[in-house]
Amino acid sequence: MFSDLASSLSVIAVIAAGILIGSSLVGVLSIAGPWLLMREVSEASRLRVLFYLQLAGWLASLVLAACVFESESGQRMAASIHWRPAEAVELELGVVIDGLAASLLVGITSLTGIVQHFSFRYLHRDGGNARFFFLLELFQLGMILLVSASHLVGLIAGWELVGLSSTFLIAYFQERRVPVENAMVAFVSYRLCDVGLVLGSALLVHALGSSSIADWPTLMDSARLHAFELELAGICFVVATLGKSAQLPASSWLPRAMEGPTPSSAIFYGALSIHAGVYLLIRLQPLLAVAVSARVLLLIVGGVTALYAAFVGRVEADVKSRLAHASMAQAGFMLIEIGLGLSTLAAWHLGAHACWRTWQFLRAPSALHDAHRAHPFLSHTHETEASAGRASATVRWYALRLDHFGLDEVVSRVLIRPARNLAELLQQLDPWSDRARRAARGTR
Amino acid sequence: MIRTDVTLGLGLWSCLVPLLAGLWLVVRGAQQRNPIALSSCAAAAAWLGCVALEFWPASQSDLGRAAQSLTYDPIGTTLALALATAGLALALGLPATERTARDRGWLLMSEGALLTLYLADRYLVSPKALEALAVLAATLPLVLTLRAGPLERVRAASAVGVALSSALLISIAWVAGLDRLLWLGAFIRLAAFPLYGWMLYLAARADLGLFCLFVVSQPGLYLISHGANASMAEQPMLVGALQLGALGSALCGALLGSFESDLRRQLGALGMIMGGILGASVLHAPQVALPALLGTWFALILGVAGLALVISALEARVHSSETRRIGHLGLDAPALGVLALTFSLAVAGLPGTLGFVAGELMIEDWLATRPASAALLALCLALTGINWVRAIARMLPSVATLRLPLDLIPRERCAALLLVAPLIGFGIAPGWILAAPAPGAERADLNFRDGCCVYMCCERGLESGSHEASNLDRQCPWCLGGFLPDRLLEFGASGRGGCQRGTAAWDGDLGSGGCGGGGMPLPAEATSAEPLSAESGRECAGSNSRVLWRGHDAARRGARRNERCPDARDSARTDPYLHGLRVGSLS
Repeated sequence: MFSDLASSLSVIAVIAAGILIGSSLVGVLSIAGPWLLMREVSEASRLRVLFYLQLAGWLASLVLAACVFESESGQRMAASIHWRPAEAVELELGVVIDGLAASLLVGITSLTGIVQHFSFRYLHRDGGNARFFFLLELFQLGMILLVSASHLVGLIAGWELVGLSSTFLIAYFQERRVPVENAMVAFVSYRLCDVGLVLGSALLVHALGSSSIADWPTLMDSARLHAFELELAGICFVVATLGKSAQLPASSWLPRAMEGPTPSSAIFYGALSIHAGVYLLIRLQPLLAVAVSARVLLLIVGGVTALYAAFVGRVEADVKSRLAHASMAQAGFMLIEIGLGLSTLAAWHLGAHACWRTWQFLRAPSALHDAHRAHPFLSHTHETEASAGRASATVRWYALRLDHFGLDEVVSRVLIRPARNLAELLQQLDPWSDRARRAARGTR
Repeated sequence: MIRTDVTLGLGLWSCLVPLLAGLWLVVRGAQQRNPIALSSCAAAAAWLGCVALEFWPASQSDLGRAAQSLTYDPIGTTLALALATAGLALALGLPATERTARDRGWLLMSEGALLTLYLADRYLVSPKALEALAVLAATLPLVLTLRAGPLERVRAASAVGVALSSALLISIAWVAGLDRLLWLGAFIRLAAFPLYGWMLYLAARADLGLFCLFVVSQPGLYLISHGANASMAEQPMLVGALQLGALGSALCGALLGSFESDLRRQLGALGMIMGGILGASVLHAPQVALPALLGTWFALILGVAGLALVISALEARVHSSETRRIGHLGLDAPALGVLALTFSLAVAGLPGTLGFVAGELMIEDWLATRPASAALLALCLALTGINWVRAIARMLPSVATLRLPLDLIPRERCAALLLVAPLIGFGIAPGWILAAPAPGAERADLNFRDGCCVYMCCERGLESGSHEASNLDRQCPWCLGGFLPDRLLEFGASGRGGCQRGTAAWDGDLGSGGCGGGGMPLPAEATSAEPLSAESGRECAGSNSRVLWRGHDAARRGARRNERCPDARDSARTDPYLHGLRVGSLS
């Protein structure tokens, strides 16, 4: 069942990859295990364990990156586990680390470590402390799987774990209704757009006959494929990206996601989660090179989202919402770069933006504090913008932006209301339903 | 034959113990001090029997014993195990009420009847009558225990009528061999549009344990997969329409669930979704690989049972299943909340659970043949996840009026663990579930191609050895697929083509020289055929059945090899029977 190593992989890299994935997995289990066994663990000991695990993971990612960049075999190392659950079904799990993946793994462990360290104090003695760190570890595991997966099963699993942990962290303050409702908005956007990922993946597997992401570029070159299938798969992946990277029309969840604690906002919507879709598209550059319609769609969506986020972000009064829109706009720019075929630029953009935005998010509570004391540019800009809006004849333009161009209303009218009406119609058609009986009485 | 004896004993044990214990509890339950312990012991005994049955065939390897495996269906054994697990968890975990003994008794009787349906071919050569009886017996407890209010008699009667009529239709059609009526009965049981309201009503009013067994068993679909899908390939239009209807039912359930705030009715909607997905898969068969269908069915049985447990635990605490009225779930009962989320996500395919692997496999399979269906399936799964997570999330905030006084008690934790462990265990290592069709593979190794040809000859009234009959050789995958063992034995009884019913050929007595006493003789080469080797079997079109059962990547490799065998590929495309197989893998 286990372990078929590519010849190019050194033993050190395998061990490092194992430690990297294992540290996150152990981190998840170290919190879930005592809870399942109904044992109390003190916050200090829990955080100590997490700190050392994170340190181990970070060092492992550094070693892995060093191995990749020092290797002579085209900067790609692979270790695959042939997970063959049955004679009838062959699934494969594996890890492929190239330069991009190695850099991102270092980024993931570094930024998660920083956020984790920040959260040690930020959430000290908070009721949901253990839950937060559990979800953070789960998120890190998902990101590592997503970035390093060599096969589709791993990629989809990582993608789903990132979405789930994001949802539950938005609903961190679960006793309040608004965060829970906002988490549901994010979850619905994720799940609906994930249909694109599943279908796109299945289409590509069907077309290429392999679930190995690393093999796709060569297979795409050699295989005689229907252009339609590739176009369709490309569009499906773009749809998946819309959800995870908060692009129009699936963008309304991102400002709502700011209901979560600030460290989670930093790591998810400033640093990593919002870039998951961008990373996926960078990986699928060979597909996008063939799928022209998908690239055009990327240009349109990225451009419109960047404009939308820039306009709306300028009138937001809340610093985290403003940063969220800024992240949205930057993700839009990255999609434009990918659409233009500049995937290397997009990768650099991704790394720089992740670091910068994390710092901004972590700094946000202090920035507000400073704003009240020293009138920094954030509150000043807001005042200026607001007063300018009131003074000029562009009040309606200002209101429009404040209302997010009515995006929520549009989504509600186009998607939610028709579905609700259909569901109500179905319930009224149901002769066994109380509602149908009440409706019948009402009409009489 | 030791194996037959042990199988017989285990099969009878698994079916009779819950039936008798259930009967005892219904009749004398009021005198029982601890009906939960008694029902749990009976359910555990049935579960142990099913586990033993599941493991027993693995030790069989020689030709004669492997041939024995032709007489039973691997789907039934695996589903019986899932059902027994769900039954045990429900018997152990459902809350104690004033009617505990009687409710548990009905639950056990229903479980026993369903196990009889799934395992009857373990101890009877021709179990049709018993299977039909079991379908009826499994439905009766639900309708007998329906707790309708005084103003709902008409609605209750009509819902009971629909449920009973579907069971009756399935039973009669199965005994009489009327495939189309069987499909109709199974279709009514799916609660497809516009006849869906009764399912939601039963969910709201019936005992949750019984409803859970009612929803997950799907006897009509099981019997279709068991032996009535041979005529499907001859009616592609009808099958396509039914499949579309089944998927429509699933979508309808997903849509209804999206705006439902009552957990019981939401469970009913999940029943519609489950029935729709499984129905479309069974109708899709044998295009869909059996592992995906079996994995999905197994995961849904456990997931639905888990959700039933969660809902019953909530009802026992706050006497309501209305999500808008319940609050503080995460603060007051975190274990219950986590459990509810786990089951909700498991039925929708959370990574790490069996549903994830099975769902991925199923979507991939469907995409190869009917892409639109695959898109609908993915949408249904996504909406299912959204519905249930939203329902659980509604119970988190502290604005609602009802608070849970108690988290899970140890008995409920054990029951939940019984369901969560296989869901996650098989999600990480799904080999055991996905390898369940191994007897089908054994059949492939036995190389029954010519016997299969004779079967098709009998079926179509052709003479063996004729030109048409030689063309039928390509249809071997029908009986190698594992769906038709019973039909394989039974078709001769109809007397078509001069065949008589006979089991000699399938009892390992390959040298009997015929497909039964007085039947059409098997060609001589069939009696001395060497088993196909694994490699040679995959090389050309004649072995597409093997490719089918070797799974996805193997099928794809087979497809690539078929590019080197253009004749085989063309014949597969034009042949209406083979076209009904895995066109995607062939082309």
